Amino acid sequence: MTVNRTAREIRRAFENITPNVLDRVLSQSSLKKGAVTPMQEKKPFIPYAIQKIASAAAVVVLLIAIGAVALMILNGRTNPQLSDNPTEPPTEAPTDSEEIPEGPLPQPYFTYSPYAVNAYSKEEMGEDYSLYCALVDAVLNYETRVSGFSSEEQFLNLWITMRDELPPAWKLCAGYLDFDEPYIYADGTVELKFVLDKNAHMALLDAYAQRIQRDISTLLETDTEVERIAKVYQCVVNSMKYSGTQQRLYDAIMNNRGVSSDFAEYMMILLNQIGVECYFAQGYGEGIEVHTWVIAKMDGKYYHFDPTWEQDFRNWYWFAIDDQLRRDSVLPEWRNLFIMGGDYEDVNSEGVIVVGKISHFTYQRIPLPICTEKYKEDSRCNGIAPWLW
Amino acid sequence: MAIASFVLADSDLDRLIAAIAARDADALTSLYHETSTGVYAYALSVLKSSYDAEDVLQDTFLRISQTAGNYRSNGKPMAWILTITKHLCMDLLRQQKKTTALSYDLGVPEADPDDRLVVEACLQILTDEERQIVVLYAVSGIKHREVAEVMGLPLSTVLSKYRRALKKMKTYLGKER
Repeated sequence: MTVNRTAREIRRAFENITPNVLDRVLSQSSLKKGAVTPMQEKKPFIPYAIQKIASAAAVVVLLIAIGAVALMILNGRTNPQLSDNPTEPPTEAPTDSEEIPEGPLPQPYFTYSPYAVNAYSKEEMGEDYSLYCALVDAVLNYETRVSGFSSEEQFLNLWITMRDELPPAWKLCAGYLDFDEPYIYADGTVELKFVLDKNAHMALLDAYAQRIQRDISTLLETDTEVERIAKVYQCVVNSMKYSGTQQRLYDAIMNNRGVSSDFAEYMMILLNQIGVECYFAQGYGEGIEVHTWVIAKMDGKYYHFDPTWEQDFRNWYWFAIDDQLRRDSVLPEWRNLFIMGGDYEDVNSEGVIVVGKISHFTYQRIPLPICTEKYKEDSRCNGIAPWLW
Repeated sequence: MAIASFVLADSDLDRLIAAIAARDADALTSLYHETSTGVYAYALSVLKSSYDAEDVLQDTFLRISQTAGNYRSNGKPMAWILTITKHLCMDLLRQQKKTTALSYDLGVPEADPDDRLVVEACLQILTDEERQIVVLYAVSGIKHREVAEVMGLPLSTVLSKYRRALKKMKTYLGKER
């Protein structure tokens, strides 16, 4: 009996002992048989909010407007979501991200490196980073054997890190659980199992390298850190389209479609290439929904960056916002979207943000400073790369 | 290689949840048929009592019928459902003022002896973490990454514990038969 057969047997046994409580559920729920079923997939986040806002009475809109004015007066800043008519979608269509300004292209300052990793990952890996690089080399050179591992856990941690840092690797190698035979042998040797022939393997790696190089090529030596992060953010927002289906990270990036975690991880991959400290932030809203965004250190402070939501707004609202602004968002159902935790206590403890690395889920709590600056109103942002939107 | 073979894809589950939000009872019935085993197995693996697990099964689908409107697709509908189950289990354990049952309590006297052996082995020989990992992946059918999210564990721990737990089960079942 193989391991997978054991799993199937477990599933069958549980299927056979599961009680049927459907009648009780239906009698206690207020649902109706044959109600109209919406066939179209629900578009997330903004359209829903717009529908909600649009359906509100005029008096509510008036109250919001009054609230916005009051906020402006009290806080001395404008909130574009409140001052604009929220029922209208953005009028200006986004410009094509491929469009490049006239004149000679500046020499790329950053060069793609397959060894680039998140600073947080690198710290976690410690001395294992050299083994990680050996794994990367094996994938890059189509070599199946890598030695020097002291435990299965050590290999798995590096292997999982590779999923986030070098997404094509997981596309090119068969999974750890796909075989009954060991992935790692007693002598500390790991055997990678490639799924493509060498030419196709190399072509796929090359396509990925070119893509990332293209994305970071607009970043100049003379750019400030704010400008670099803003360009990366623009690149992600303009490249990606939201898709409700989760797929491999490699496919999400190369096909420009993904869910919020793909947006965030793609942005982090680019930030890692340029050496910006960043974190994967995930949280639940009031409906226990999961959403993902990025926290990055900019000019010495941590800010939230939400490329998924920016897609629908495109006015820099979700660029470099602080804790308070995120909480004051116009989308009430997402106000408490700060929390990632395994239990109710965490979910309800407002104001605690738990961030970390997607693969490890060893979340680290970092206190975010309450920042009064808002970078989207900063002239340094308004001046950069205006051709992008 | 996916172990569990659900008839419906995640996007179909998304559509069913959207239909439940539109108050469609047929959609709830379909969702129940697709996912109830995964929900019950996970509840049983946490609570170790078939009576409590049955209550949580019922409450999970009632909660889904009430909160489907809040669901936003993130490509992980089953993980959303199981997170609801997990929270209901935690509530129940808190009410009962215990962290985990000391001994398991498997009702279903009419169950097939072979199925009973497998489920009892899961409850007896696996640790709490191992059992939940195995059940979430092999029975509920979510991905290891989602198992890691639901349980708040590192993915590497989930992968290695899953593999070890299945080997334990395989050895035990081989001896018992």
